[in-house]
Amino acid sequence: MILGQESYALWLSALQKTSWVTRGSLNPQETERLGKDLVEGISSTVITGSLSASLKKTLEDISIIGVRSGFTPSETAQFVFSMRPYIGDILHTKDYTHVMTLLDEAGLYTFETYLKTREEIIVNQRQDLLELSTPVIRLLDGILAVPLIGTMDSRRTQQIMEKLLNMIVETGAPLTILDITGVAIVDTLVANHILKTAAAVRLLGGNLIITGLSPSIAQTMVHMGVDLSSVITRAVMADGIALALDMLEKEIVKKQQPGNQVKETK
Amino acid sequence: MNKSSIVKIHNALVVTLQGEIDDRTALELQQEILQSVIRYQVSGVVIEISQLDLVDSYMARILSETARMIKLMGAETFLAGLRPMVAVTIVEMGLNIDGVKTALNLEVALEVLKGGR
Repeated sequence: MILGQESYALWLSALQKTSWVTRGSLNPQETERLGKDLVEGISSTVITGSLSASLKKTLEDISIIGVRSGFTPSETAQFVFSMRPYIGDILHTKDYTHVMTLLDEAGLYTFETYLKTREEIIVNQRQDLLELSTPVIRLLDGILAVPLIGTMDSRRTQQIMEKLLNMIVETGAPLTILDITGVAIVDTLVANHILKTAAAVRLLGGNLIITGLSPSIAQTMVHMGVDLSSVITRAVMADGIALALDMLEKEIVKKQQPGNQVKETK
Repeated sequence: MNKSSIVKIHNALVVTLQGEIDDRTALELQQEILQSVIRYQVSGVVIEISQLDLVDSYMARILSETARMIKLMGAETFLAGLRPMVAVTIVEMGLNIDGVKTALNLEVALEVLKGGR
């Protein structure tokens, strides 16, 4: 129940002038609805002394809109804090300290949910990015290619491995070329991940060719004492493809007629 | 329940592992496989495990040992049809399946055995 209708109206009109409405994140009706929920939530909170579930829900809604609209945390919390000058009159209370404490608590809660929502978005984006950045390509009949780009951590390796192994089973491809030209840092850990992937592929009955071992990577590997002798390695992907074709006893020949075309001979 | 089977096809023995295989059944199977190698005079054994959801360290050891025993008897062993997740588990657990050649599926394994490669 809203007692101080006058102050309440004043607060609402003040709210309508903030970036929430002027930037079009909320329309006036929505602002009014959220404002009403907020005041009602606060007034029930004043009695119980702790944030009620419905108030929390309202605050979460506000934070989510704040995040989606690209507001800063302070701007988001402003929705709640803008009530400060009016809340005493709205609730017809003289116990300012108590009300302000609760209002602060509510404001901080928007802060918290703001961060939580942000984090959720980041986690989702990371997931999207992972999926985007690990394609498994059917290069030629019986040859798969995995061009790795970016950093290789254990989570990504795991994902690449799963995707690749499933693809091998699905296509029955005996050979896979793993290209690490685009991997920013190749250290012992990355080398280990590569060896693990190779072992898993071998268990399925496939074979892995690692390409993109530049001179600098080769130097690092030797200096760090990483033993890559159990896998086939090549400097450039073209060599890897040539080797793969050789292993499958296939070759690419030039067509007799004008115009080139890939042709496989067995 | 153990529903595994051992079948002779051409010059090879096809062992299909199925269902839950406990430690005892695994050993019994090993016995049976070795006996069959002698009985049928095969040159290769294909162990097909596409129906297995789980390969633990004991199973991995049994497989590896069986392969080495078969090798001693002059035949080759192929492991065929590993599931991706099983392969990942084996690698992550650092299990060693030495002496076993792997094939994508039964068909490939039989072809390789037939070709004598």
